[in-house]
Amino acid sequence: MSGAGAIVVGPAPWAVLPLGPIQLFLGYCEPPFLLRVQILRGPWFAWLDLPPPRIAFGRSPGHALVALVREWQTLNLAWEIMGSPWLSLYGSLGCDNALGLRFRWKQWWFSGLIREGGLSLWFGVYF
Amino acid sequence: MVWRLLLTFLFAAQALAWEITVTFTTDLHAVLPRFPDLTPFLKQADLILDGGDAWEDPRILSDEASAWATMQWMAKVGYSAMVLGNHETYLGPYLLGKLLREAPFPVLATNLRAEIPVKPYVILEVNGLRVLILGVFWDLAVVWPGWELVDPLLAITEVLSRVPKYDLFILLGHMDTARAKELAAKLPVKCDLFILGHDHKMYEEPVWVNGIPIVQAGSRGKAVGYAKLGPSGLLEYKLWRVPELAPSPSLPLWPLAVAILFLLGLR
Repeated sequence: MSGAGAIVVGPAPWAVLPLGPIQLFLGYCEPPFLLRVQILRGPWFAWLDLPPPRIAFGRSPGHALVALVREWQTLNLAWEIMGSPWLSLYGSLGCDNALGLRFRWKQWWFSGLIREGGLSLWFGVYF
Repeated sequence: MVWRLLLTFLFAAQALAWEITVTFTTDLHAVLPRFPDLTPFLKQADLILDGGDAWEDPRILSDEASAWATMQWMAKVGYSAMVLGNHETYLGPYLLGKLLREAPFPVLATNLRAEIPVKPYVILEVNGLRVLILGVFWDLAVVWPGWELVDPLLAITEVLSRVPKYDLFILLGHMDTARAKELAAKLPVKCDLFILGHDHKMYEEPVWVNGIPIVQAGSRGKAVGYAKLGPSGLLEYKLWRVPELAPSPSLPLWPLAVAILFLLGLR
């Protein structure tokens, strides 16, 4: 959302390369390449992912980030609530349900995510 | 000899008898229609300061244009400095960075480590005195990827250890009152004025902690605070309630239309 780059290690590692208003996502997941175009960059946020076509529209109504994420047939509400500068709760509601806890320290973060009945652990760094 | 002594005494007395006046706003929340009413109150002082949460408001679904208009109005009025509030973080790092680069006054965030052009401190020369201003924020802030929010007391202590010599110290804080009182109680140096924003309170009288006057001027342009400082500290404090002449801005409808489109489908 910030336009920052990131490297994320977990069951399906991925990386983000920032290219101005565009972000390139590369990973061991489907699809392996994804291009994100930032359309609105505050206080309303909107971005378009290709492929598949996916559009998101959101805002920060207080110390949380919420975004409606629309794919061709699916709709999700993605959200993250800051509990403190070091800890946040995040998840997704709708066609894809998930709940995670993220610990941050400087550029680093560690997260546990419950999705489809299983727990996965993730570790990331922003650059 | 007597004349020389008398002159020396007069000059010394004049140097000791300084006064600095400060007007301030807190939690303006981009309430643009109210700004013309505030201007004459604000312009009555040597320093104009803001306690944060000036550029954004989700209650009126404020947009990018109102953030720019608020910043430009503050520049025109002659604000000397402001502190970042939690609502400024809701603008997102990209827009916030653009606003900060264009703002002609310093925006302080002593306890934020981020690649946006905020300042840890500023020293302003007013009436021949060097006024040190620091600004810290905390509660309900969004910490964007790559940002680090440091404990306010740790950040203040670190900055105070490396600032040049100053005559007067003003702290801008954007946090709830309980946390501000705790911070004031632990400050390692004398603070002449602590301007607080965040919980939208109108302080008719300063709240004194550890000999530090904590002041706050409500929200959404309902009041302007005024403080006169001298060698012995706070000489005078007033809270000017500003008559509500202009109506509050109304909610825009386009975000609702976009949300409905998302819910119904884009096909």
